[in-house]
Amino acid sequence: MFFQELASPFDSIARLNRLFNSVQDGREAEFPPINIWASEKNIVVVAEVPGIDPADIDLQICNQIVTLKTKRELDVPQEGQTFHRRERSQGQWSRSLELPYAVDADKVGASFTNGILKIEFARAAVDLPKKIAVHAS
Amino acid sequence: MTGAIVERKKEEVSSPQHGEHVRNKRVFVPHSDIYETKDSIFVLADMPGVNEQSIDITLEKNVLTIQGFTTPQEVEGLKMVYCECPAGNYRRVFLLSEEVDRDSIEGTVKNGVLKLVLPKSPKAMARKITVKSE
Repeated sequence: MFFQELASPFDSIARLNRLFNSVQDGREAEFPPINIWASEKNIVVVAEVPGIDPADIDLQICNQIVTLKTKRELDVPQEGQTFHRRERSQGQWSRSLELPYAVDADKVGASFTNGILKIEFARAAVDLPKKIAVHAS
Repeated sequence: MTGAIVERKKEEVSSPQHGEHVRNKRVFVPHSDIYETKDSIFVLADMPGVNEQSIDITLEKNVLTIQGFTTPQEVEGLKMVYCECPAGNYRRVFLLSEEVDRDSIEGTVKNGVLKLVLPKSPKAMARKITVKSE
């Protein structure tokens, strides 16, 4: 099973670098980081999105391409603060994934708990492999 | 709206000089922001998968330890095919300065982010001294 990441052509060099560099230095990653579980009939994508309001998650599916758009605004007072450490990033992100088979867009389940987004896909009925009986003539 | 913004990958706690962990689970350093206002110090830590029951904050002398425990995100009947965010707990230790009012530290968790408010003790707050002319 093969999941292909979609990105602009400009990203391909970065991806290539990441592929080669990940062995020595795996510090760069796309946001949000995801885990994928799959079988022949189901796919579950889990993304870690801490500090993101569920209302700010825009999830779209078009054919076999899932696009996740999020934004994070940091909870910081507007005036009079001094930063000692800034490790958490803020901004807007978009990430797309190509699924290995067609899924039923009406049966996508998405849940959000404690900063973890879980998206469940079921393979489209038309796309399920069918067993063909062979009759001896 | 771009994927070019780089997010740091989860970093594991590395402390061979402090011994190994007893639990057979990976431990990560939560990314944190620390900022200070006139009367408080704020610590925000990203700990996805942690709720108010699975968080453990201890303050011993001036050592503040934040620990978060997660439950593995196993999905029954499915095989993991891709992993960017491995399962594990969170741990981070901060040294506090003397100026924090220890008794009124508050912590809240929302959407997987811990927010600690460490109020400064009144005696450490900056005071403006008015100079009078004679």
